[in-house]
Amino acid sequence: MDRRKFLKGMAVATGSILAGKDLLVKANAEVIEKYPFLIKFPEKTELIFYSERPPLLETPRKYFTKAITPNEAFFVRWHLADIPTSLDLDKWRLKIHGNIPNPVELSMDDLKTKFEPVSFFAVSQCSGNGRNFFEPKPKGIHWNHGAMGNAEWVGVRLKDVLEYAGIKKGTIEIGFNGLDKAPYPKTPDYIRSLPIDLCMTEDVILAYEMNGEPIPYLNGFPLRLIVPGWYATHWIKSVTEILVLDKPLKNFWMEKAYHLPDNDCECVKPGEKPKKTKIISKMNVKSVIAVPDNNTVLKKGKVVKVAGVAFDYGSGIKKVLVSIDGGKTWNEANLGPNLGKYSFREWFFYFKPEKKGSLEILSRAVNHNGEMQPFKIGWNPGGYKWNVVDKVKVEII
Amino acid sequence: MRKLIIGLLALPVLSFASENHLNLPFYQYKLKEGKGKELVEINCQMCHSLGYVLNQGKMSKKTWEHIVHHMIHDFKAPIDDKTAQEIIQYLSQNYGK
Repeated sequence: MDRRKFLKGMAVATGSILAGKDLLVKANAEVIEKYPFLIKFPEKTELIFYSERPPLLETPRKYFTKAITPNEAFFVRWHLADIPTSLDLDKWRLKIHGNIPNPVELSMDDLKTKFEPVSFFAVSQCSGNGRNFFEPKPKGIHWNHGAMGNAEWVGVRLKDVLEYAGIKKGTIEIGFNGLDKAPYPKTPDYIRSLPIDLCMTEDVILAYEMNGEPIPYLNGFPLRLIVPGWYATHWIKSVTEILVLDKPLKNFWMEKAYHLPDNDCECVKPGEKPKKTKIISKMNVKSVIAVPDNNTVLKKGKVVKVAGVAFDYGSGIKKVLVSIDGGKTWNEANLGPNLGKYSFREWFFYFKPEKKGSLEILSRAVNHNGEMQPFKIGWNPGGYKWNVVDKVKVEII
Repeated sequence: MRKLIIGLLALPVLSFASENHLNLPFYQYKLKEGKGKELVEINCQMCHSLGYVLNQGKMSKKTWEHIVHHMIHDFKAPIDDKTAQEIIQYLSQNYGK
């Protein structure tokens, strides 16, 4: 399709008008000179705004006092702007094809009746969560802590679906394609693959429920791939197509996007290009302070609650250490209930500030493998995997 | 009468259908005046909002160059060299650091 035809098609399709050299104008477009800081999208409460097309919304810090992130506050990140906003579930099918005897189509009813349902809590975290804390700032959305959330997912094991389809010998990867599309047809579609060994593990599921409800459109209705412990780039939203592959999937997303320097520190000097790269996979150990926020003014002698969440790739959180003197001494925080190894773990700690002035509160998570949050990490071009000891500065008066 | 009943029965279904469709907000962001503004409006907004770019903060000319080339080479944006140069010029002059 040439560009003119494409633009014309788009103008008709979206009810936009294209007048001469003017931009595409939607009839209901609101003219603004400054983007709002917070925005309320349909299905959502007020979230931190980055983009409306594709939607990019961040969860405000205050939500991380709780282990479960409500659906309405759950962050949103799509790569391509044409995302599903309506769907006839009766007509929707999950299509499986490739290295199997015959292509398979499953309805939502099939998924819910032919396979054993499973559920667990798991953290979904954008690879670039915390990018804003790197110096210098890598390119990409300047997420603070809120490109993450924890939900209870209900669905079916991918493995069961693949066995039902009858994957043949020689299968090395499984590819996943969602309903999202790029507005321009030549833009590479967001299709990713995962190694077959991972896909055959018990915990990789195709979820149709999130926190007891159908998954919101903005988080991947009607079906989302859940790869617990792995960064959300792999959690394909609105999955409709599963490709059983006997050759590695090659496209922009697999070969170039979401890659880390392939060395011990997964880092390079700021601005430098890595010699060798690898696809990002498992998350690292991390804790985030939800309250108090930076610049909070607190009263001397009045008890303060420090609270947040901690998580890792699935070994589970052993303890969270809190410092209220800028890192000189550390105290073990209280942990909330254990909701499973892939879940957020709530933690909290009370203290009474005895001195006026500014105070630094730090949190440091330790997992069951003895890994702990570092005090600093090396730089990488994508601004991925930020997990430095969290820190907030408050004022005591 | 029969028609009325059918009509009434159809109503809740219709309202459900419209609720089931997400109306996402759509902003028309006012860019700073300058040479090349229209080219940015037409070419960049074809695939994404301006917020996607401008909410990444001010960037050096080198970074704007990198981003525009990334859009052309990796995302196949149909932008010719001359237009690309003008877009880079506009962005680095008005949203540069």
